[in-house]
Amino acid sequence: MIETINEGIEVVSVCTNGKMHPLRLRWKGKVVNVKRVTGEWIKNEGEAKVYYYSILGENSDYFEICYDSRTLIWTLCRVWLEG
Amino acid sequence: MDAFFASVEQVFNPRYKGKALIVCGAPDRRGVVSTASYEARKHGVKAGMPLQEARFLCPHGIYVEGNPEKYVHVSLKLLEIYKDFTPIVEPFSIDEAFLDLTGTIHEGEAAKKGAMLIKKRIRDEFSLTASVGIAPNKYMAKMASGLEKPDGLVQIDSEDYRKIFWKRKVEELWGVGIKTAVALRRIGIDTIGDLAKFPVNILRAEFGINGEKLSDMANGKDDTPVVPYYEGVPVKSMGHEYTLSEDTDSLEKLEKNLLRLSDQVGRRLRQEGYFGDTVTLKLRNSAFVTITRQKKLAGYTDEDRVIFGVARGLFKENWKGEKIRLVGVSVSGLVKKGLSLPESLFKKDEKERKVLEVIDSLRNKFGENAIVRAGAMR
Repeated sequence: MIETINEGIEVVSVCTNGKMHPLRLRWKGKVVNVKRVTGEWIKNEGEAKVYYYSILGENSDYFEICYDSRTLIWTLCRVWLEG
Repeated sequence: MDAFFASVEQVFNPRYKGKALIVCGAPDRRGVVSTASYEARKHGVKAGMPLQEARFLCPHGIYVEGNPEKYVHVSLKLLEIYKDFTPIVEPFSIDEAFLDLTGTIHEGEAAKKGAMLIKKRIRDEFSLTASVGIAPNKYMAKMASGLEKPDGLVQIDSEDYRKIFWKRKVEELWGVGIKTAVALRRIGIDTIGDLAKFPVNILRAEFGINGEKLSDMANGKDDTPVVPYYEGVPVKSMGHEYTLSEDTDSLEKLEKNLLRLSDQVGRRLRQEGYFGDTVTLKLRNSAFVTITRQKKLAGYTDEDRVIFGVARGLFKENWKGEKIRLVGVSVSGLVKKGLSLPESLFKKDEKERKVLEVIDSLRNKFGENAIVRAGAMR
């Protein structure tokens, strides 16, 4: 079941062709490798943009993360953990 | 697009795949179903249905809050695909578009192959399915697109249209609701074929200007062009409505919501550069009886205060003190800014306009919730 988290996290990402690709995230000391980005979208907060990513971890855990271009902070919004 | 919002959610979160998924407002609140996945539809859940009814029909369904930004983002990406096939693309809604293939390599006989390529790209790039209708005009194409949902592809001409649709009930026509169907039955029209053959002058006498339109719809006639996205489709009205968390007869609560809705409508008018001259109030009570009342203004406006004043006046005139479930405010009679308008209307409200400019600039910079009218706070 999906759970709302809204906690700051660390994310390793690469930027290519004007697009950001999250590769790895660390939440509560645990590192999760991104298996697949299943979707992305942008939310405008006034002049700032918040970039959202839906991602699957290696063991099919689902994470929804976002990057706020105003604060430069990554946030884990929601998760659905396997098992 | 097929069950667009629900399908996007299923693609973004694969845990939802194959499940009865219902996209709605906040699931812990009341409201209506925005979109139901095909799995949920098997249980009778459909768009527009109150959530309470949906939960009764599909208690095991997964209810998720819709995310407009997500769907708009995907919709704009889909538009990019369509533009690779023709520049004449008319986005009809967030999940529907008309494409004019005239003059492209996919014209005529090649249209079906073009449609297959579009469907393939949508599937490959977004894992989504679309149902496509190909026809000589927009109305027939729209009707054809609904024939083999989901993932359909149907090409028809006028003769096919008659063969396929004339035997069907009038309510299967796109744009004919239950009320119109009942009115048509009253004059002996049951099927689309009956309507197609019915004398237009009688339809006109019965339904006014819509009488002719109804006849055209039944005959698959439509000469409206595909309006390309870059020209923009003229907007007729702008409005917002809100289902309250619980039915209420509290004047304070109802006026608070009217103020918030008026504020949102005014903001949209200014953002998109429109003035309007008619304010409409919509009220739905606990018994699901809905009324809409409107008032034409002496001039044009895009100001929250003016919209709220008229909406509140209409509310006071028409509310009988019963519990209300839904309130809505809209403004119509829109004209684009820059066209000739009565100057006096704006001169006398100079102070209010300056306040609005400040509010709008704060919202543009920091987001919609950066500043909220005290009277509209929940």
